[in-house]
Parts: sequence; C-alpha cells; structure tokens
Amino acid sequence: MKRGIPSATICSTRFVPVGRKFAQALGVSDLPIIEVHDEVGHDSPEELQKVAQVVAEAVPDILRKYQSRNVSGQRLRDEECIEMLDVDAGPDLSIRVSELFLQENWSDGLPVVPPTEERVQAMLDAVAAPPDEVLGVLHPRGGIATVQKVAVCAVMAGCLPKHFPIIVAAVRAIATPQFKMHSVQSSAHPHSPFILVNGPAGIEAGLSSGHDCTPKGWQANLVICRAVRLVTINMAGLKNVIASHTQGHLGRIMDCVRENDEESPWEPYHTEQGYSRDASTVTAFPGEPPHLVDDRGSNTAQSMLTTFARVIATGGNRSLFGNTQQVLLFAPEHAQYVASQGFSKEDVREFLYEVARIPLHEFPRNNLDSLSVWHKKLFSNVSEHVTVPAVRRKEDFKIIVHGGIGPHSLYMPGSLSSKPVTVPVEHKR
Amino acid sequence: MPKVRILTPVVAAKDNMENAQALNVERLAASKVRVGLLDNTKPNAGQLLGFVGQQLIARSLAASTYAADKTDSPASNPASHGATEAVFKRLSENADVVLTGLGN
Repeated sequence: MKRGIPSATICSTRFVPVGRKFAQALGVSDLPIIEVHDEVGHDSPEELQKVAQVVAEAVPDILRKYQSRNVSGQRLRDEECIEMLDVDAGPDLSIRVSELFLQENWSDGLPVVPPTEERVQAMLDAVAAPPDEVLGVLHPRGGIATVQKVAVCAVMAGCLPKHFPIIVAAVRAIATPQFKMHSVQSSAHPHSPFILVNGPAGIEAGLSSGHDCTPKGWQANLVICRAVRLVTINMAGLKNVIASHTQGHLGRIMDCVRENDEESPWEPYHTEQGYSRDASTVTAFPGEPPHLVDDRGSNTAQSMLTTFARVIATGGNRSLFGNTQQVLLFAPEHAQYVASQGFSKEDVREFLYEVARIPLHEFPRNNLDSLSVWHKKLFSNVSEHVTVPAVRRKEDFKIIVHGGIGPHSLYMPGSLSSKPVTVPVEHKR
Repeated sequence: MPKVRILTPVVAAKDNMENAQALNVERLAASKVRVGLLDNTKPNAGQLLGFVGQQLIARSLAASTYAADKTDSPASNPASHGATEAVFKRLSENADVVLTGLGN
C-alpha cells in the first residue's frame, strides 16, 4: 500500500488483532483485512476453495472503498508522549508507580523502581553518550531509543549505574538491521535477545559467568536482562497487542550472561569476532529458550560431541528449517574435556557440521512445507536418505563457555531471520 | 503531600510514512482490474491465492491475475521479511490491486 498500490491482506481470525496493530504501526491502519476463520496451513484443496470463495466475495467491497478514497495511509498517532509525571511522595511511592506503569503497559508486570530524575541522572553519568543520543530505532513500533529513555528503563529494572554501559551496548546491538528486532518481536516463533558479555566490563558490572548461585551473584544478570526487556516493551512493542510469540519466551528474564573466560580452554567469543581479548563487548543473539545437553559418561570427545549433535538434530527443531546461527553454551567441564582431546572450537564446529544432521525421511512428511525455500530447492528430486545439516555453514555454530560445575551444557536454537550482533561497550571517558 | 517527579519510558516513534507513495486509485477506475497475488510463503498461501485468482476471474471481478512470491528474498525463510524491491516493481507494473496474506 505504501508503494502506491491498493492492497488487502487475508488474515485468519486469531491473527487479526496482531495484523491491525502492525498495520497501524506501519502507517496503514486502514489496510483492508479480509478475515477468514480458518488457519489455512493444513487445509485440503477443497477447504482452500471454500476459503477462496469468502475472499473473492470480499474483494468488490474493498475495491469500492479504494475507489471512493476511503482508504489511505496514515501517520501513526503517537500516544501522548508524556516525558515526566509528578506523583505524590510517600512510603508507598514504589507501589503506586508500579501500578501506574503496569496500567499504562510500560512495565513487565514486576514492581519497578520509580525513575526519579536523580536516579536517571546517575545512570546517564555512567556513560559518555549524551542523553539525547539515538541508540537506534526499534521495530516494529519504530520507537526512537535515546540514551535517556533507555536509562529510565534501566532504573525501572533495578539496575545500578555500573550496569548501564552494558545496557546501552545491548540496545545498540538489537537496533541494528542485522538483528531484525522487527522479526524477533513479531514472529510467533518464541525467541528473544540473549545477551552475552565479554571482557572486563562484565566483571566490573558484577555479571556472573555461571558459578555463583546466590541471588547477589545473579543480580546483574537479572536486572540487565530485565532492562533490555523493558526497552523492547516500550520501544519495539505495540501497545496492547496480544503476544506474538506463541508461548512468550520462558527463559527471557535471565537471558544475560558473561562468558566463563577464566575456565574456558578456548579463545573467548568476542576475539572470534575480531575484538582484542581485553576489549569489552556485548553480543545479542536471537535465541529460543535453551535446551539441556546432558553428558556425564562419554570417554571420547567424539562421543560427547555426538550427544550435542543428537540434541540439535531433531525433526521438529525449527532452527533447522532455514539459515540460522545456533548457540552452544558449553559447561566448563565439557569444554575442558573436549579440548583435552585436542579439539579446538573449529574442530568442534567441523565435527558437529558433519554429525548433527537428519536424514530427509526423518522430517515428518507433512511438515516439509515448513522447510525453507532453500531447503525445498536443495532437496527436491533427491533421495530421502540425503541428510539435512543443522546449519548451512559450520561457522553458524556459535560456541561459548558458560556455567559452573556439572556435566550440563545448553543448546540454544536461533532465528530464521535475525543474526547475532556484537558491539563494543563504551565507557565514560 | 509533596510531589516527586518521575520520568516515563514513553518514546516518540519514527515517521512511519516516510517515503510512502500516494495511492494510485485511478488504476481501479476500469471495470476490470489486474489482481496481483503475493504469496507470503506461509504453507498453502500460494495455493489459496491461486484459487482466489481463479474465482475473481470466474466472477468477472478481475481481468487477469499476476502471481508473485518472495523466493528471491535473501532470507532463508522469507515469511517474516518484506518483499524485495524487484518484487514490488513487478507488482506495480503488472497489477492494479494486490492481495496477500498475514499470519498462518
């Protein structure tokens, strides 16, 4: 429609509220939507014919609306951009602010720390960037993320000023075109920004690399992740829209970690991205909730990595349906054992590329439509014994060492659209 | 009761109609229109749109249909990506109105 071509979209009933919100955010709030009651993905040709009839019957009315110029693009009317509020002081200030923010959909449901001018200023003092610097535009809403507004979210989340440089870097990362926040936020596929911190900034912020099981040890991980979540709610999200992810994201609030560089036998992740070892970086991965990789008995590196491969290569893993980057959070114990057998990170990727595969015939037959266009082309007219690799290129396995004691690693499937992004953490000069 | 000033996380949004083109409704003035059918690559979407096109022609609501999809997208799974400029250009040249799908 924004290209000047009259348009209409067909949408199943359950997706209509989401469709309307997205149309509004994109400036085409009166985009004609033809509502159909079926989700047509599993319909037979006969059923599709019936749905087509409903659509065809709606077309004359849509043409009339366009001809009578009742449809046009519209600028999104921003909710009144309230910069600040004066609220009654008193002992229950936090409760009242939390209730107000939740009512306005500015919160995540947990109590928030009231973002007073003093608290926000303390955050701003921790970074070199000026308050009005735009860190990025977060889609689908198109919210303009300034340093000051991100600082408000950091205060709300319970962050301390020492956490703020990491949050600023994380917002820069998720606002990049490669991260495609639009897709992360709007897909029904449950995935969310997973934040990895490398270098001294993580230590200075008090981020746990996995050992400390006390609440104090996890405070930084929790509040930094929460601050990023509040940024996505307020700047990327569409107000009042029902959740796009089918189940939300069950691991979202703890999705911020520091790599366990101290116990890793390999080079840290950020040096693979071209940064020096003493640089501080934040990497945002578009990740699903993690899956456990349990191996306590392997007596060769190949056997242990085969355990990883079996967790990865399953016929229902959406991450295998397209071009994704997939994260392996090796427990120190697993990483050290595999490395002791002479495996570098590159060797691990090479092994998994060859072994983490599924024979085409093991994909549920009726689910082949979920495969990407690339897969469909690749696997048309080939034997069903051809194997599907978990990733297109071995480099798409992203290896991180994280966690404490125990034989438990994690596998985090990735996104079909969004790519990991690494950015430096900037300190106050 | 004394007051405390608090800041809000409410942000301004980027102009969502930046670079938008004026709708060309003149092209709908003719009694029959060319209908573009843009497959969003979700399962069955292409087949459904094909049937819609057949019905529109059978009911004399369309002079012709023009099918397009997003298979030239650089994304491996283009459902959550916009169509490429090339697809928009072809639709603009070959269709007066476009039908597509959203969601599953």
